[in-house]
Amino acid sequence: MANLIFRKPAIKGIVTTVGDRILTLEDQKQQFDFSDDDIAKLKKNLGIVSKYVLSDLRFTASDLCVQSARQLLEKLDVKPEEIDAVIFVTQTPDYRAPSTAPNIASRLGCPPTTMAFDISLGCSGFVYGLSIAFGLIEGNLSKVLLLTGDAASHYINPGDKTFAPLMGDAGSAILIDDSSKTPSHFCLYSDGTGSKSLYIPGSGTRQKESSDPDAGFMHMNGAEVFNFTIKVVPKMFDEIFAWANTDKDSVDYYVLHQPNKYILNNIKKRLGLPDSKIPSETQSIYGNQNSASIPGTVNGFLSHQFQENQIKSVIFAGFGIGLSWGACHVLIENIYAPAPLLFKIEEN
Amino acid sequence: MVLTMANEQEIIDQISELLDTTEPLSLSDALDSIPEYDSMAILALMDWYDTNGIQVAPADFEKFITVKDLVERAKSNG
Repeated sequence: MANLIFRKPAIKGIVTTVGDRILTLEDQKQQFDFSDDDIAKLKKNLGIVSKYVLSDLRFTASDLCVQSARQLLEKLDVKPEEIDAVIFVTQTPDYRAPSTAPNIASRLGCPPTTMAFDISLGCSGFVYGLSIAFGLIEGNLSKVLLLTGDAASHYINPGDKTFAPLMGDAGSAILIDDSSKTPSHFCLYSDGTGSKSLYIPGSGTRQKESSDPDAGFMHMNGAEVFNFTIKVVPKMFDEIFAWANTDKDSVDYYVLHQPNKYILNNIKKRLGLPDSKIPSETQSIYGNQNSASIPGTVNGFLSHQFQENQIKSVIFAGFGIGLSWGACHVLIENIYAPAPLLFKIEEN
Repeated sequence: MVLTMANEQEIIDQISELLDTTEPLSLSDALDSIPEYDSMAILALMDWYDTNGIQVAPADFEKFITVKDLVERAKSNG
């Protein structure tokens, strides 16, 4: 059982950069041959309104994260040489090899004494990445920069009308230091029997599916993913409440991965949570941001609340591709969490 | 509220409500002839079965041919 507790780590700031191109559902009408009825159904059932994507696919998830990190470090007055570790959580690395994180660390001006590595996770990536960052702080590092981001535009089949309208591009930066005086609790899980519910065939070294016309594009079995979600998410909440010795009503905010409004409303209903505690608009406005969806929700919809001088009891929970899921309970007080930044193209 | 799956007509009515059908459903209706029976309807049915403690897997929906199949599943271990 992967239940973890940390006593020293604290989140100091969260910044998210979203793609610079805003596409409404209506903008995608011609691309996907949507009828007016299709658009009305997508809005009603899944809550899709628009998505923010990269306008220029020469750019990547690492570029989105670098922009977030620069703003975060500048506003928190942290110098790159103070960063002990850079972790990049993504399913859209710059290259299959090497890891992208060392390059990001160098772009930010971190010295070779900074450790840097990637983690390949999607929807659960923020919670998993946070657990690793917290573990490094517990292991005596002072400052860790966690980057979570994906540019799904790079792996979307442009003809996939069920998946493509859902997905946005975003990259977040989160600074963690050793200043906490209260414990944080994590529960982490995985189940590889569902690994093909959401995957990119022919994208790695196991090439059996390379003749598949979907090779290289994300493939989703929506019913399998939904079935997984309703089975594991409510149980995961029971377990994190018990592990963190808290209860449903004591938690101020539930910040969940944002796959679509239908799933979030279902979770809300099953947990009996009011709308005010569980923001669910991120996917509607920005698109599903994969590993950046939880920090993206903080910046998009809880920016004011997270910057107040009042301690908030928060549960972050991610679930999806892997299959992989996890939740953590943390206390948040007055962190730097501005509204999302729009990606600015800077030619190197 | 957990639903009682004893009454066949009650189950049909609930399926009809879930699918938001414009026409009343009958046991013999083929699922692929119901315009509202789409991928979102399958998610709603999965949720409904699960909420009522009835086991169903996504693959089961490939075997369901008529409304009767949905009803039989609801009655099987509800």
